[in-house]
Amino acid sequence: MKVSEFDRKQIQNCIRQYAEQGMFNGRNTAIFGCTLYAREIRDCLRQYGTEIDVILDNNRDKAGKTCLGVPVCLPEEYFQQQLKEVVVVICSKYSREMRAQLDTLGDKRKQILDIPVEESIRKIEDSWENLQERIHEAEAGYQIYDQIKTQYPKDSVLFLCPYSGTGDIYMACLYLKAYLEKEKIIHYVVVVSAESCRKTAELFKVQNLELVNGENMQLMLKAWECFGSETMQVKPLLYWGWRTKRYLYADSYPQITFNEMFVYDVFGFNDNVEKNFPSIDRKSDYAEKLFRHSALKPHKTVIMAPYAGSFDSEMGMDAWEDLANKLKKRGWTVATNCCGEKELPVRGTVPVYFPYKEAVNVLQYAGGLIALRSGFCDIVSQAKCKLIILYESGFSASRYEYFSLKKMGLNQDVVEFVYEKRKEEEIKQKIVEAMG
Amino acid sequence: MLLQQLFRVTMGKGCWEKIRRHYHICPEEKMYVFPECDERLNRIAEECIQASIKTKFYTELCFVVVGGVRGQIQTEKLEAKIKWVEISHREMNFIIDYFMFCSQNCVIISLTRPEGRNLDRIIGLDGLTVEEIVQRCIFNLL
Repeated sequence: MKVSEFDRKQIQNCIRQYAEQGMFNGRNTAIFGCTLYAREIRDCLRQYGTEIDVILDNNRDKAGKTCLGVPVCLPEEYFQQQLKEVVVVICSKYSREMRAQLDTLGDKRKQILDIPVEESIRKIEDSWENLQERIHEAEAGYQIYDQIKTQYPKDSVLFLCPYSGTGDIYMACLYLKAYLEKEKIIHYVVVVSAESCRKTAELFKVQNLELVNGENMQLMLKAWECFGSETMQVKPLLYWGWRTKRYLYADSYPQITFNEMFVYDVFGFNDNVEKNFPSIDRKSDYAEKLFRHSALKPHKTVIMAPYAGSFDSEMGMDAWEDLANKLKKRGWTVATNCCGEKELPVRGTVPVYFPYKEAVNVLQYAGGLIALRSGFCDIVSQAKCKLIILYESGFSASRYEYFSLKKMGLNQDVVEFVYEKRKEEEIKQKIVEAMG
Repeated sequence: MLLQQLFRVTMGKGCWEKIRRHYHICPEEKMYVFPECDERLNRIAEECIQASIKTKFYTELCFVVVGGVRGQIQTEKLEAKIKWVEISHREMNFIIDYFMFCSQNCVIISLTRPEGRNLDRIIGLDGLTVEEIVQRCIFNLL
C-alpha cells in the first residue's frame, strides 16, 4: 500500500497551511499512528524545517520501538511525561476516535492537525441508491464469474486471488495442491488480477489460469459477498476476515506469520501441511548467458533488490550505493534487479532483469542477494545462496515478525535484519560481513 | 437463488431504513447486532460494549436486539448514549443480510464465524471461555 496522489496533495496542503501560520514553531511534533501516511507527513514537515519528535500508537507491540527513526509511545504514557506543547498530526480513518482519545489527554498543551484523506472522509453510504449500485455490481460480478465458469467443467471451483502482490499468490500456490486434495476438488481455475501474479502461478504449473483486471476481480468478490458459496463455486483467497470482520488478525496477534494466515485462515488446515514448492529447471543456461552478457562474476556477484511494491523504504539509494562499493572492495561484482523507468539501478551496479522462472537459478549462479522484503523474496526463498533480507520496523508491509522468511519456514539459512535509519552504518557493516 | 438473496438484502434495507428513521440513527453510528437468543453471550457482549466505549472512544452507539430477548439484557447497566431498538427475528435476519452486504459499521454478536476458526489455536483462542472469545474475537479487546 502506498499513499495515493490525492492523499499526498491533502497532506502537503494541510501542512503548508499550518506551517505558514507558524503552528509548528516552538512546539514538539507528533504523528498519531505508524500508518502508511507517516512517512509522507514526516517528509513534508521537513520541507518546513520541522522534525517529528515521536509517533503515538495504541498498539502495545509497537510502543517502545522506533518508527521513522523516532520513538513510538502509547498516547497515555507520552502525555504523562510531556511538558512542552505539542502538535499532534492525525491522518487516519480512525481520526474521530483518535481526536476523542486526545481530548482526554494532556490538558490544553496540544494542537491537533487532522488531515482529511480519502479513507477518513469517505462517508458510510446507507442510501437506496447505494444499495441499487451494490446490487448492480453483484449482478455484474456474477456474470463475469459465469463467463469464466462456462469455459471449464461444471464442477470447477474458481480460486479468486484478490491481491496483486506476488508474495500473496506465491503463498496461495504453495498450499493449493494440499487444499485440492483436502477438499477433493478435481477441476479448478485460479483467477488472478495482475500479470506478475500469473507468472508466479505459472511457476507452480497451475494449469487453468485466468487473468482479469482489478475491477472485475472486485466485482466477482462483491457478487460472492452477496450470493455466498451456496450459489457461487468460489474460494476467495482472502485473509482479512471478509464478511464478519474487516481487519487483519495479525494486527491484533503479532505472533502470527504471513504463512500461518494462509495455512490456518485462508485454507483452513488444522495442522502443519506440506508446502508444494515450484520445481526449478536445473538444466537452463539462462543464468550463464546473462552473466556472460553483463560481465558479472559467477558465484561472486551480489544482486541487490532495493525496491518493494508495497512500501517505500527508509533506506535511501545512497546507502545502497555505499553498500555496493563496500562489497566491490571485497571482490564482489554487484548488480541491481530493476525494471522500468521508476526502478533505477543502484549507481555503479549492473542493471539486470530476469524472469521469475529463472530467478532461483540466477541467484544461485550469482552467489548472493540483498533485498528489501517483497514478494520477490518469497519467489527466490529456495535459492541456495547467501540471502540477506531487510525488514523495517513500524510499518505493517515490511514487518519482520509477520514476514520473516525464517519464521515462515521458507528458508532457515537466510540472514535477516530490521533496518533502522539510526543504525544504518552498523547494519551495512553487518551485511558486508555476512556476505563474506 | 440470486433473486431470493437480492430480495432478502432489499427487505433488510427496508427494515433498517424504518428503524433508522424512527430512532434517528445516523449511518456513522457504531452498530451492534444481537441475533442470538443466548442470554450469557448477550450479557457478555453488553459488558464488552461498555468496555469499548471506554477504551476505544466511540462517541455514539446503537444496538439492535432481536425481539423477545430484551429482558435478558440488563439495560439499566448501559450508558445513556446507547440507543435501544427491538425488532422481530425475521426482520433481524433480513437486516443481517443487508449489513453484511452493504455496511461496514456493524458488529454482529454471534459465535458463528465462517472464517478464522483454525487460527484459534495459533492466536490462543482455543480452550477459552465464551467470555474470553467474545472479548477477544468479536470485540478485539485484548
